[in-house]
Amino acid sequence: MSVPTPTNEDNVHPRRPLDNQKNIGGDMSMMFFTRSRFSRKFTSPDEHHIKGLNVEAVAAIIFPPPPWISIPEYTGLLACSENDNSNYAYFSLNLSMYNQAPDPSELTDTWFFMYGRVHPYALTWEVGPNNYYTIPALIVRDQGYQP
Amino acid sequence: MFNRTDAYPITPPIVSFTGLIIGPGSTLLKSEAVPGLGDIQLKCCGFVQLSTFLAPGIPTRTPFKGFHPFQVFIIFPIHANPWSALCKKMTERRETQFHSNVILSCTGKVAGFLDHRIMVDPPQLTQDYVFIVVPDTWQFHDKADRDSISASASMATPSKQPSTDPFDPARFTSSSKPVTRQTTSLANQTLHAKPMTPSS
Repeated sequence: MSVPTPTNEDNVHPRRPLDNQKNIGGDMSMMFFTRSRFSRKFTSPDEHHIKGLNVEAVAAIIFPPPPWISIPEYTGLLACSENDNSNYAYFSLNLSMYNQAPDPSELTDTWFFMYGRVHPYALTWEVGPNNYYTIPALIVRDQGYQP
Repeated sequence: MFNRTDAYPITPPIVSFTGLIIGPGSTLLKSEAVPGLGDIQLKCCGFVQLSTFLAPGIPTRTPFKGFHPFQVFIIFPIHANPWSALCKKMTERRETQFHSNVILSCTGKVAGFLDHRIMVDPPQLTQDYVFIVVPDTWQFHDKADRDSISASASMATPSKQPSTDPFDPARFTSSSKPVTRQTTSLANQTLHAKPMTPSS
């Protein structure tokens, strides 16, 4: 299981947001099953990856290939997954847990059904001095999750 | 315990979005890299521009507060059933429906991630996922549709609207309290309708 790891500054190219709101389209919501690891709770709002969401974890989501994609006409469409036995993809899962159960550690290896916004392109966060974390993101608000 | 959790339902994630079409597969995919698709299939797929509004804990640090763009790939897999039958009309059209600047609203399953190497205009980072979405429900908001929407909207507005600002709070407030008044009068009626029986 190859999980995205923080990298140092050399290969970091932080993205800039768009300058204006013209023709940029809306956001994308997603319903999905997920299992996560490496959850951590931020104590200070400044540490939040997404403002207001105090828990971050690495979430694995399965994308099972549909039968049609294996017929010869569609060969070459799918990106080869880095580790061939799985169709897992990893996202940075951001959600809020204030004064309530479950404890973030309970997230680990439990399957959850969630509903939230997905940003499938990688974003970069500074997680320490010269230490960056680049990963696509999931934003789950308002208790859009259940085990 | 792990056996149980590993056997959890293998259902694909379902996404929904509304965004502007960038263009059809016929111009945005390297057709020689995916020869199996064919001309008709290349017309029945395309890319949509979307964005996520993000606000990190410190807005001036990466990833920076603002709208971050991304693309998704939409495909009606017409070489496979049931889409061969479902999309018969679409395949018979001479032109693609994936015209740039047409708005597409869609809900569908994610089939996987598109290989960056077959894209004419691939994303910057290898970690970027380009979702392949097969629509379950969809709507192309053609230009004609949009014109009629704006026309009907402008026809509806002038007559009875005292204020032109759609967010005017006056729209939602009123000086009279029709609901409360009605209930109290109803309550009075029922009181009067009750036979006055002397209490013992």
